[in-house]
Amino acid sequence: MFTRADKILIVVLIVISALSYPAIRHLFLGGTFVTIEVSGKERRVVRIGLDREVTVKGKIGDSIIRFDRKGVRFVDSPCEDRSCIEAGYIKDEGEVLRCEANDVTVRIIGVDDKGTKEKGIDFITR
Amino acid sequence: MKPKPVLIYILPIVIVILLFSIWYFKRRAATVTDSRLMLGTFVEITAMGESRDELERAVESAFLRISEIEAVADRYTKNSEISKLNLMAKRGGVGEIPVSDDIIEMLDLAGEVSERSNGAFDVTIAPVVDLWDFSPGGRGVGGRVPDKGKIGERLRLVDYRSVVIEKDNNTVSLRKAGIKLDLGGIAKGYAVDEAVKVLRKLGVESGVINAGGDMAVIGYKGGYKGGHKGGGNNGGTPWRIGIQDPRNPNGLIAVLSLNDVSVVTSGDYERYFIKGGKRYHHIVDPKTGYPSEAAISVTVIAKNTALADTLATAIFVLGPEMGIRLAEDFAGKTDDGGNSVEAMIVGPDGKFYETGGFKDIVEYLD
Repeated sequence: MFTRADKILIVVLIVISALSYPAIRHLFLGGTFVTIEVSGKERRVVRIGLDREVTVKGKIGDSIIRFDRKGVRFVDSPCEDRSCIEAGYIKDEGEVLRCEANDVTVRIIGVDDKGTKEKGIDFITR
Repeated sequence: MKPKPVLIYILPIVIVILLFSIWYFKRRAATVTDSRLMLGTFVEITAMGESRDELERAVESAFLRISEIEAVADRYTKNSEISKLNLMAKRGGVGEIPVSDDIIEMLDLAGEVSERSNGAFDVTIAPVVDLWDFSPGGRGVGGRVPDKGKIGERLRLVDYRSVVIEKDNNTVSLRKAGIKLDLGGIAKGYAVDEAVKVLRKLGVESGVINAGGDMAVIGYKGGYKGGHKGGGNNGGTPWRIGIQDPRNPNGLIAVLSLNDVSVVTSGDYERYFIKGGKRYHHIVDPKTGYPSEAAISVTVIAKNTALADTLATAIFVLGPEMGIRLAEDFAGKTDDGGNSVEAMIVGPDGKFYETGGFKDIVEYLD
């Protein structure tokens, strides 16, 4: 079975992996560009990091939108039919999620963060 | 002893990963980035410096200042000063209402841009804009083109000259009942400028504030006293800002190298819908009540974001020829001999038009 050296090695690897995970994730997964609109009135463009939730005040209440590695989705909504939540994730450019009752629209307008980094771009004006 | 060869091969990898992690986090230790949903958009603030705690305090203070501006300027917030003015006008009143310095400053600049652009920018456009629905359409949902007669009726309420500012006693009065103000074309830019002031006051020498594309860059990237790179510009390099390709959401048309300046882009691709093969977008010409077709995209660089914000809209409505003239009209000379306002327009024909000094700061991409 495991020798003492093996056990030490396993513990060291686990600790280092845990320490390195956020850095590696940030470097290789980048961000996602999305727009969020409420009642079609305001422009909302964001480059947002992974693993976070954003609360948006819509026409009838608060919609909660989750950003993670799978993409973007509604996780809570004041609408009755909850179809926006059932619609699940969007992750590709041009895909749109919409909560009709709360009049909130989420649209992915670009995921080319890697290309942007290659060009040495810090921010994008749009 | 069996484990030894394993250790010999794996230990160097472990050491490399450990060193990489230390380098990565050390490099990022002096960068604070936070984003919040404010002013109807996501506001992202990035600050670079030596002390993470001080940067976090500065960023928090900057967000607080933006929320103060939102509280007075947002027409969708019930008790904002703009809502009070709009409510008074809706009820037929045309009297004076006391307002904050922020509203006075925004309306003052808006009035000047309106005057000098011959009404191409107008904060009283709201009654017409409210007729439109520029929802991009999600699963099966589209936008709405209003009735032509309705637009004509509402256009009678669009007149920036009906807004009267009394700077001496901080009041605003409206000369026409039914008028409705919308500071959406200036408030984000103004808020960015105020946030920049807060960051600078609290010692931030390197950073970016980005309010949905209305952007101000502070100093140089990584350029702060004690910056780890050394050399000129406090050890920093110019911020590289990409300009979006108006017809390719993933593409860029150019890259700007900037420091201590603001940049704003307005385009017909941000909020729009297509009906009958025609694109209807959110930049409405105050003269016609319909989306302007004089440009596809306009990028303005200026010493303050509020001015860049208003000029981007006005130039978009005016189109390349008159738009470039307007930018040059507002341009003064900077300390280094450049112009304080530069603009680049993608015309309806897809051609690029630019002010004289724009080429010195831009790198066009293929």
